[in-house]
Amino acid sequence: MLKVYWITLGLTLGLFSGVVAQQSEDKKYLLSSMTSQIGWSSLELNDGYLSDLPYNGYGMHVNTTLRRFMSLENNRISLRNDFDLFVGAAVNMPQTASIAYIGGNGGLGMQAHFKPLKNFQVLVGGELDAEMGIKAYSREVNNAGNLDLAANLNLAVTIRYDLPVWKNHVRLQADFRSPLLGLMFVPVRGESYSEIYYFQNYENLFHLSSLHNKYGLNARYLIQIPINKSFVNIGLHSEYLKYAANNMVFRRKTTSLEIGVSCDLVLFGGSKNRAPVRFISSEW
Amino acid sequence: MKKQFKFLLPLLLALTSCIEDPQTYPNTWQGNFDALWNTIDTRYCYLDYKQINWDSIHVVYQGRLSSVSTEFDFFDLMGNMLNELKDGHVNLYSDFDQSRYWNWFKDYPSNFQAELIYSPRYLGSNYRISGGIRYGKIGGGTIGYMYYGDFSATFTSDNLNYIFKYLSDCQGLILDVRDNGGGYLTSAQTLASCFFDEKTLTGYMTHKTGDGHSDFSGPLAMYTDKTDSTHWNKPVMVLTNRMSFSATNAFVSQMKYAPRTTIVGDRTGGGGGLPLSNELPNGWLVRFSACPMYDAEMQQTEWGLDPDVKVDMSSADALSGYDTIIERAIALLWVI
Repeated sequence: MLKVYWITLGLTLGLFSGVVAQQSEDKKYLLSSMTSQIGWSSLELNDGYLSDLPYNGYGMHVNTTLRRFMSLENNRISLRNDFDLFVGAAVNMPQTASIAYIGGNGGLGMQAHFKPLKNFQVLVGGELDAEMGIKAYSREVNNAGNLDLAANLNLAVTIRYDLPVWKNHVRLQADFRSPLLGLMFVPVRGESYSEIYYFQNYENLFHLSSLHNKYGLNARYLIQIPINKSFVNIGLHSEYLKYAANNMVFRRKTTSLEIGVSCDLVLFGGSKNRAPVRFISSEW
Repeated sequence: MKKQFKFLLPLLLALTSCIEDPQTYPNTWQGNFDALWNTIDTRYCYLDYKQINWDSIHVVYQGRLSSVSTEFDFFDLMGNMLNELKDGHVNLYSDFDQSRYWNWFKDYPSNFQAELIYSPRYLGSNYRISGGIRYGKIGGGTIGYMYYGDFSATFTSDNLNYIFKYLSDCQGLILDVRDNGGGYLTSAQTLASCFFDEKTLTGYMTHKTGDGHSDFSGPLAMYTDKTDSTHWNKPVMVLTNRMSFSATNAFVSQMKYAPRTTIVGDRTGGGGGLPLSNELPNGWLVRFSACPMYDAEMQQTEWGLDPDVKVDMSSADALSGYDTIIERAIALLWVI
């Protein structure tokens, strides 16, 4: 319930960068910074279960990152939530078949903030994420689709530099996430999904992952231009993921040009963190 | 800190270099030939069972590759190489053709004439259709007759309930799956379950786990369960011919263990391997048997299943409007 309230309030406010919650003058509130991006992306897929051929295409993705310090007292460590959704389609080089792809990822992490230089911040930490994707193959065969399922522990590093411009500053930010350890689902190459379903045979389907069989880099480079109390973001996002199991290699590479906004929100929820009466909600 | 970083970075680099890319082939005739040969070599499930020397086939067809001059010739060469597998589940698909091996039924009598089953003696023209199943009463209204020609034409339990309700006053049922080239295994399973009184072991399946010709998983038991809501508890004659292939072959394999059931007609066409697919560098698709299915005695079903009562259609009967196999099934039901 608490989560639903947070998400509803967050999304409602986040759609409009100009809508920034007011901070109480007599009480301190933790601000949650939300960055929402939307991008047009190229897509490269290799799925050894569906085909030996690489597939290339395009797609769209949306990403939302929410970040806040752990508590009012602790402004050295922040919590971050990431939500990614990608929808795309790709064709093989001879253009005889296509793969439709939809994938999503949700993560929860923690980063320590370091300020080694003026205007310069380095955030280092980890994130747990869960990933799911579906690939639908256009050809009518028994291996007509494949499922991506994984849970990862990621290394998460964010680098920020606030470039002074006139009386304000433009923020340059690079954010990197890379899987270190995890669990992933990979079908056996010679086994159909109907066989898995019918026999409930899960042998060799789940694999521990680490850098020996899975690696990747999810990188986002943003130029954040301040407008009032918010930022308008222009960015480049790239994701490279490669993993192997059951004698197959899988690869996903996306490169996106994206735009978005960043703003600060005050999130209320639960019995201890009620909204003051002067905050009017459309929900309650 | 610097020391640790110096140690960590090479370790990370070393670890991340462990994923080897799969072998790729150039989009040339040689590259596509090698890709096709390798796909079958590593993923086709019957090379050992059929005692096929795939290496020597490579030598033979590699020698012919140099004489190929057009894309059509090249396709034919590749198709002919696949036909050495003698498998109806093996096909090569291009934009202009589909290779196929059809000798599994062409070399045998057809044992089926569609126009006969729609003659007034059998279904006539006022038969009913439900979920892809054509049905009616024959033999003076004493025998139920169902013709199911495609396991891709799905049905529901309601469809079957109505069919069995309509035929409930018949003393037996003829279930004709001749010329049924297969479809969904789940449909075969669902239909077969209507004729079982209890959960019964009816077969096994394995799948390839590695590139070696004999790298298979352990056998997974296939059970056919009883369906309470849709159950036929009277004698059944299942009619088969060589065109009863793939999912139909799997259906017949299960029905051999069903009570009160007799298989009548010709040997089925086989197709006991569940097919998967791969692509060649030029985008052609190759379909091949990947998961072999066995009967409950762990015998392969790839080459087909013998009927309990072997009957061939007589051309003299056909000329007189009789389907010899249906007539034999009616006679068998009448004497039960």
